[in-house]
Amino acid sequence: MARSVRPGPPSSRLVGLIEGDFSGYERDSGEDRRVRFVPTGDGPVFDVVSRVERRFLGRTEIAVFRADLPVSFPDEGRIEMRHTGRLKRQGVTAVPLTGGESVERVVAALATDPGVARALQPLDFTHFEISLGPSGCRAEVELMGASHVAIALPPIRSYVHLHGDQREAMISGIGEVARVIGATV
Amino acid sequence: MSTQDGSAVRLEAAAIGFPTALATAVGLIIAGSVLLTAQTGFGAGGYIFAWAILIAFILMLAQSASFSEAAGILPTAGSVYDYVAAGMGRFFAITGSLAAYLLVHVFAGVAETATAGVFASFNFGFLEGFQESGSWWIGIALVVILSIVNMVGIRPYASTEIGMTAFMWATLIIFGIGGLLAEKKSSITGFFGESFVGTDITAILTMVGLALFLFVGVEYVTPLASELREPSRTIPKAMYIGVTAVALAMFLYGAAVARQVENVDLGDGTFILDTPLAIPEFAQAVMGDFGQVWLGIAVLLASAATLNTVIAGVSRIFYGMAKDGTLPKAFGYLHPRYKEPWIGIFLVALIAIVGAVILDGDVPSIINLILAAVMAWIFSYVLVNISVMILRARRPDLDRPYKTPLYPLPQIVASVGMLVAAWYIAPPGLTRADIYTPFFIMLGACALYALIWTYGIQKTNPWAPVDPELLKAEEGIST
Repeated sequence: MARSVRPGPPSSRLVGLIEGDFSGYERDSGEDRRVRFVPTGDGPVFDVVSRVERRFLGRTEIAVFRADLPVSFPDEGRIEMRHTGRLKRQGVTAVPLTGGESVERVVAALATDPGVARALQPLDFTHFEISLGPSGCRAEVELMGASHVAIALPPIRSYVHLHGDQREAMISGIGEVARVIGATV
Repeated sequence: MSTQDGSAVRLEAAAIGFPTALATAVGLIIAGSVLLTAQTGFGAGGYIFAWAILIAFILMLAQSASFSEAAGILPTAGSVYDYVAAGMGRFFAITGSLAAYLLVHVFAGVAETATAGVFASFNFGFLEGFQESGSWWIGIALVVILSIVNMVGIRPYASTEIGMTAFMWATLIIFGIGGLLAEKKSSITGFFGESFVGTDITAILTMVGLALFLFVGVEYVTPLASELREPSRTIPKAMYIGVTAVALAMFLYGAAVARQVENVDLGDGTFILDTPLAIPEFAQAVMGDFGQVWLGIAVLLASAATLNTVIAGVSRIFYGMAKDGTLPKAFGYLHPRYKEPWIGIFLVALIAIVGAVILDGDVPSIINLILAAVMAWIFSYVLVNISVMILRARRPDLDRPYKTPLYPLPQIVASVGMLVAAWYIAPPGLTRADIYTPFFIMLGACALYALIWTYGIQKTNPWAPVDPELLKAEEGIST
């Protein structure tokens, strides 16, 4: 699948809209101007960037949620999480993008872990990537929600909300992924 | 793609720039129906239509001043709705924006699909068997291909909009200049030809309504305000340059077509410049077979790109509506592998296909509805002008990064001009009642909806102006 633009800083409008949907989180207005959401209780910290799909007379700005996982891994590697099933969603699998044998072990563990499957099964993600490395691991998630569609002809503007069930599934999915990686090290 | 480097981001870099704003303002001139309008205007009105374009150009410059001032006060995506809500309250805001924009949706996708087929059947020799009837299958084939492309998640890379707009604008300018420089093939007198609709003031005003259609939509740049770098400078610049670029392209294209294509009667009172048949003939006269293919591809690409955007964008919106509970859950379905909302894509394609089959290429049969939609557009323009003036009087304290020069002259000129154009909107062959009846039915339905929504659901006073600060806060914009 062609991915149109590398993620960049989100528009202030998208950040404002996400803020309204992100209950249990507060916007961290740090001095380094990053867009960061921190939990008021337990949960991962999210840095938000956005990817823009620009088309003729229209554009969609999609939030990309990045979370540092509380684990590190001895080798570098990248893994993509995917749903399985021909028409109906049947489960979850993991696919190695880069990395050697040690990364393959993590892939096998993620693909077979029932906790990961349970958490990610209801999540409407369009992209879910995990980066592994000695300096830390990170999850990067793009959803259908938390995106803004603008079309000039016919003139339509619409924000696709990040609903509570999706927010919770993302948080719990990231937690489960971190648990499995930690157990595999 | 690095996943470790994006935490420290600079917000400024997220903003979009002047090229995108200009492309959005100019983008709509590529619509096939606009080309047809320009041809029809020059064919019937000759030099009178050129005067009409000049008047419409001045009206649109004045209107652009209002939009620029409003967008500076309220740099929101809500655009027209927000400006009117701040000036005149939610009733007028809902009625105006619904009538002007939502109703146009109903026609836009269908008309674009139908037009793509009609134009292709005239521009490509191997499709000429479908000129009379059956051209709908070309539009349908286009929609089916684009739906499949969207279902498997293929995305065009960035800058499609800028590239496509530049390509279409350059094509019109090149063909326009080429047509003016090439040896004259028609028997017109003067630069734009003579008028067949009279030369008095009524004739010019009748043509202004048609000429306004060439510029309508230039305000689509305003909803980008919250994402633009320096919106108070970029929006006026994009609108003024956009209106000028459209006028230039239309003058050149119209004059060149009138010079290269003899406006013959096709036998049933229809003249060739009123039909898509003039496009391949003009392209042939300017650049031969190569020109015909070039212009044909340009028009088809523009239709395809517009339809692609609608399919991809609206299906995602349907997904969101399903999640919000305003559409059936099925629209929230995502294909496990391709991650695309298949049901939404299917429905958008189905609406375009059914509409195109029913029309069967007969876009002129809905001309009175299209003009009624133009009336609604004009109505919303006047509401924006009034709102800008009300805000000046009631809220002089508001920060106005862009202030209308010669205020309130542009607002008055634009409003009066638009209303006069609306009065004379009926072209020869149609009466005012043909256009006003569907317009007032549409407006009445929208007004009723506005009352039910504000009183019944929102439980708010529909007549009270909304604080601009509140409208900005609703979109996450700090004041």
